[in-house]
Amino acid sequence: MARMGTLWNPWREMNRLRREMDHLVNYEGWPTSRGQTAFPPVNAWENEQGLVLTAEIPGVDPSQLDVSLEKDSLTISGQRAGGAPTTPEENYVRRERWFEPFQRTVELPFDVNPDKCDASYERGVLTVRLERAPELQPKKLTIKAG
Amino acid sequence: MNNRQAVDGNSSSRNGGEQRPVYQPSVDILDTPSDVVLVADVPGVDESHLDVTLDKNVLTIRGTVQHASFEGYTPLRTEYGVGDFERVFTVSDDVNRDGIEATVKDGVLQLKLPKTAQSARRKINVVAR
Repeated sequence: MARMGTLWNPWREMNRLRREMDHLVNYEGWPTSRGQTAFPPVNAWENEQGLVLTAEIPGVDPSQLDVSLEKDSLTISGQRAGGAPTTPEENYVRRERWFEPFQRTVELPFDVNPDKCDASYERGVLTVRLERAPELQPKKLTIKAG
Repeated sequence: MNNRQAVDGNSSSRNGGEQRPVYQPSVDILDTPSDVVLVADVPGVDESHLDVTLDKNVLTIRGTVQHASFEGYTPLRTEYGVGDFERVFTVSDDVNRDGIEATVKDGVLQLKLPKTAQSARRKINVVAR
């Protein structure tokens, strides 16, 4: 009984299936509810200067979290810590969390300046701030007094 | 951790008069010789915004998420809803109530429920509801 969770975990199976499906259909929808399609789930906001993305990735050691930026895409990959009993005397009686390595690439809605980005990880949430590419920044004209 | 679900369709919490959804966190429960350890994913919650209550045999964990608000930005994509976390468990009498320890690190809650001296090494039931 106590070992059940380590043998078969429906949540883990479902997550694995879902991720496989995502891979197969290359889902590009932007769902608005909890019906998540890929891990980690990402929220994004924009303004004239740039973009902010947040991703829920609880329990990852920041050193195991990799964020890489291309001109028009952002890739988040890593692996969560834990997930295995540390001594033989520990038994999982329930397992709903999962610990597979993950990788996700998010297409950005516009080109960004690869030199201006800022990523932070706090309370299990990754926040990435990006700036639009210089040629996409709104131009401000200086008006000289006559 | 992808299976977080709303506690129920109408569930919401009040926070300064603002209604927001309540989600049920994913949990792992570990039985060790000395403790029962409960681990829950609560991204966005820190120790000062976590409530753990044990009322008779009903253990409730509740976390209030600190909203990230980005002023001057408009939402572009919303893949996850931001709300609070709540989950209720039933625990047996063999838990030493005074020794319960809760820590939160990187959005993961770890709750240690020590077994009473008599029940050490015995399996204690903690049942997720």
